[in-house]
Amino acid sequence: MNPLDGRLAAIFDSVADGVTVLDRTGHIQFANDTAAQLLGRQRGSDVIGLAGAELMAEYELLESEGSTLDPNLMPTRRAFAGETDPEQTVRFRRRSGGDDHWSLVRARLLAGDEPADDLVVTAFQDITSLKRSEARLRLLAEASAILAEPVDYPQALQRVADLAVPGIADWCVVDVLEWTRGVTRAAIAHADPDALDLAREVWQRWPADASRPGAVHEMLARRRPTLFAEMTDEILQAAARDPEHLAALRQLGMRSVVVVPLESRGEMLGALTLVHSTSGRRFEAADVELAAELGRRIGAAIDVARLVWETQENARLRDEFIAVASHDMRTPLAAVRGYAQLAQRRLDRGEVDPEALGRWLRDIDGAVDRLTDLVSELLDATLVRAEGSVPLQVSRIPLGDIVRDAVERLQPLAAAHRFVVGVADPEPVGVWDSARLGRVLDNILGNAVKYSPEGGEVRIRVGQEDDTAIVAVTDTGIGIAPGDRELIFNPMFRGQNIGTVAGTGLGLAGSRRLVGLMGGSITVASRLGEGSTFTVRLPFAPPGAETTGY
Amino acid sequence: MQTAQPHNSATPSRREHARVLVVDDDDALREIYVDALGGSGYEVRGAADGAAALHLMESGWQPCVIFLDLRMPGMDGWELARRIRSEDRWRDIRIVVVAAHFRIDREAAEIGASAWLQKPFDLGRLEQHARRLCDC
Repeated sequence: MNPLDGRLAAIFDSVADGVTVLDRTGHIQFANDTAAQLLGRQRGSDVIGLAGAELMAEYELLESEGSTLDPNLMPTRRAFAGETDPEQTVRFRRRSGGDDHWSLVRARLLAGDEPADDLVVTAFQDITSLKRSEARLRLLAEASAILAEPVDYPQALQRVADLAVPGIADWCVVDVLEWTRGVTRAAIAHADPDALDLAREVWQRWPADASRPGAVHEMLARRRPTLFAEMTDEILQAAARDPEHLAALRQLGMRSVVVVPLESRGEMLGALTLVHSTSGRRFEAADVELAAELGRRIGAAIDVARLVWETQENARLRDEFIAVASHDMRTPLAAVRGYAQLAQRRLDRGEVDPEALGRWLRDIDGAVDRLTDLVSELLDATLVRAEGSVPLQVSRIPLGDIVRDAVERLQPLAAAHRFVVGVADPEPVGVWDSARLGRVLDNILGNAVKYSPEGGEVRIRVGQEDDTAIVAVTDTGIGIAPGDRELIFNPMFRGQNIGTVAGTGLGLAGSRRLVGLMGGSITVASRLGEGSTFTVRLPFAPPGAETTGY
Repeated sequence: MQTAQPHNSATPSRREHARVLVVDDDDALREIYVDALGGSGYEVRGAADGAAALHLMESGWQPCVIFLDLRMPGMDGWELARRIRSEDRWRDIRIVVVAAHFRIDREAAEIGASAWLQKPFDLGRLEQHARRLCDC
């Protein structure tokens, strides 16, 4: 007796591949445990004697890439038909849902004495992880190709989202955080067109918000990829903003969720969310790695798009600024030239009128003053982001004087607004660059007028807190949304003011920088629809003033 | 355009009847242009904006040429040009755009101006344009 007899089953159970033996009636004569598990059973003995076709009926048989597989191509049938050692990659999809599995299937005929005694032994090598890796690499390669194209970003993000569905996820959402202006908000893709509408509606009505509970919030707080392998109702309840939102989230049928950052150069630019729902699939560690890599590539692409946009925007602002500045400079230049030529003509004709000549020379002097101011403004505005200091021209001056001068400059241009100046007693007096501080106030007061209704009141309080002088400008305007309160100091926002506020184009970015040079700060408090208060805080002398002898 | 000529070589008798209007919100420039053209024998008036210019013309004082700034508070140069072009009685009035901004050539063409001068310019150019547009 062969010592292996009776132990063959145990030997087959120890191999990694599934092994079955079928007879010509299609019944399973033998199956190891692995084969039984591939068929959704536990032990080989559970399936012995069953009809192979019946067990297979629980599965959709697909080609590797997902198209339907002709059953006659299954190696077992081909071996019975006389083909030598046929093999085929088969993708198994359980009809009741769950992840697809790939097997490399090989079969061999074991001929019997009679054809009826023929057996076919079939081996199933599980290549699912290999196939998934392939799919992941392919997705990354395709996504990189799309993101590298110089297309507009809404389109690129949408194409990447489409790419992830349905291979990697049932649906995919790209959220770009709001502070990355110039880049599209986001993209969404869903394997099921009907569910897409619902998902889009929820996503638009309750957009991802870094400041509110939810998967995106959690990921942003941790700054790391976050896996919700099993989505539970508790998680939904915690994420829901209101009962209606909760109902919508439940309706979405999320089963498993991965959220990863869109990150570039250490900055969080948004979130990529992958969801499994109807397919019943679950995300695992390898999916998180894939999503994280995809997130990094999207992040880098957004970063590039943003830099390109910023560069173009800066060029546009510069051109606009130069156009405005050259216009503003040509007018006093025309006066200088005009008076000089008038005077020359009188001299040529021997008609010297000392009274007229004196007046013209004074006007020339005044025009040169305006030109000098314009050149200073031009430098202040264009050096907004340059490093290094712009030399301050300081003198001891009451803060109220600088404020009153600014109000006087603006009042004729804002006849419908009322300015109320309140100066503390004693009035703060310090060593300041009055021309630059004046321009800062021109800007803040100009904004107060521009963003408040006609007839509005602009209140200016001049005072002192400890070692700091304060100018607070309060308007009754439209206010500033919470998310914009820091953004308005961003040089990118400068463009809105150029050419409209007293011709300086300095903007809040320049104002903050100038005040910063004087050792001070500008802050803003605001209520939407009620108004804003800009507060300038200044030390009584600029930094280093003692050592430089002011 | 004619070549530059000494201003005393033109015909004073024609010029005494030639009316020239300077529209500019900048007081200094208006004074300079009025003075320069007046010194060459034209009957010159100044207006600080489109409305003042229109008022003057409505009262019967019709110029042959208007030196017109475009950007002005109140009624600007574009609006004044549009009003002039919409009135048949003013169809012979020539306009020379006098302005400081970019793309003045395109803007002058758009309002149907005969010429343009970008500030700052030689005062002799004012007279050249006045002579060419009024004495022909």
